Amino acid sequence: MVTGRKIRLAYLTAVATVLVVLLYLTTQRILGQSSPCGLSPSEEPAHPFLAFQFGTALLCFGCLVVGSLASFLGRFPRLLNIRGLPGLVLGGTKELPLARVLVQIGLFFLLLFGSGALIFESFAIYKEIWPVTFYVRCGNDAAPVYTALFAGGICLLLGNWLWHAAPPKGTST
Amino acid sequence: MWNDSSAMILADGFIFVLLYLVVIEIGLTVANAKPVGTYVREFLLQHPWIELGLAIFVGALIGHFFAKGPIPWITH
Repeated sequence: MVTGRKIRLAYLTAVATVLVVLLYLTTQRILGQSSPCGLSPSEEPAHPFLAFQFGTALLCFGCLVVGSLASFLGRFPRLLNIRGLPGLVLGGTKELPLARVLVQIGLFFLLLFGSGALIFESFAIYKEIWPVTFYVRCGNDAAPVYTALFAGGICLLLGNWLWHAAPPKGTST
Repeated sequence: MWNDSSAMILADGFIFVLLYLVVIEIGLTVANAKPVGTYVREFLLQHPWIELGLAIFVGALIGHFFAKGPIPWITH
C-alpha cells in the first residue's frame, strides 16, 4: 500500500541519487578537464532551461515553495486530515536524542562549507581566478537541464528544511 | 583556470554534507522520527533574523547564479 511515508522515502532517495550523481560528475568527470566555456562563461546559457532565460531561477523558486509546503500544511489543521499528506510532507513524530546531535553536526558543516565557498568567491575575484559562480554558470551553459535538475533538488531540500512546520508549542527547546 | 580544484572541493564538500543530511533524513523517515526540518525550524524560531538573512541569501544566490538582465540590477 502506498503511504505518504513511502512517497517521502522515494522522493528523498531520488534527491540523494541526484546528489550522488552530482558528486560523481564533479569529481570523476569534470575535475581536471578543459573548460567548455573558454576563459569565462557567458552570463546567459545559449540554450536555457525551458527555453526561457529565467527558467532555472523559476524552477529553483518553485522547488523552494514546494519544499516549504510542510510549513503551510502545519498552519491548516484541516489539511492534516488528508490521508497520507502529513506523512509525506511533515515526516514522523518520534523524538530520537541521537538525531539532534547528528543534524547539528551536519548543519555545522553545511554552514562551514557555505561560508568557505563565500570566502573563496571573494578571494577568487581578488586573485582573478574562477569563482564558484563561474563554475555554476559554465555548468548552466554546458548542461542546462542537468544544472536545473541539480539546483531544483537542492532548493527542494533547503525549502523543506528552512520552512518546515513549526514544532508544537511547548516542545521547542 | 578550470583546473583550480579549490572551488570544486568546496562545492563537493557542500554537496557531501547535503547528502549526509539527506541520508539522516531517510533514516529518520524510516524510524518515523522528527525530520531534519523540525530541528532547523526550532532554531530559526529562536533566531528570526537568521531566517530572514538565509531567505535573502538563498534568493540572492539563485538570482546571481541563474538570472541576468533585462532587470538592470541583476547585470553582473
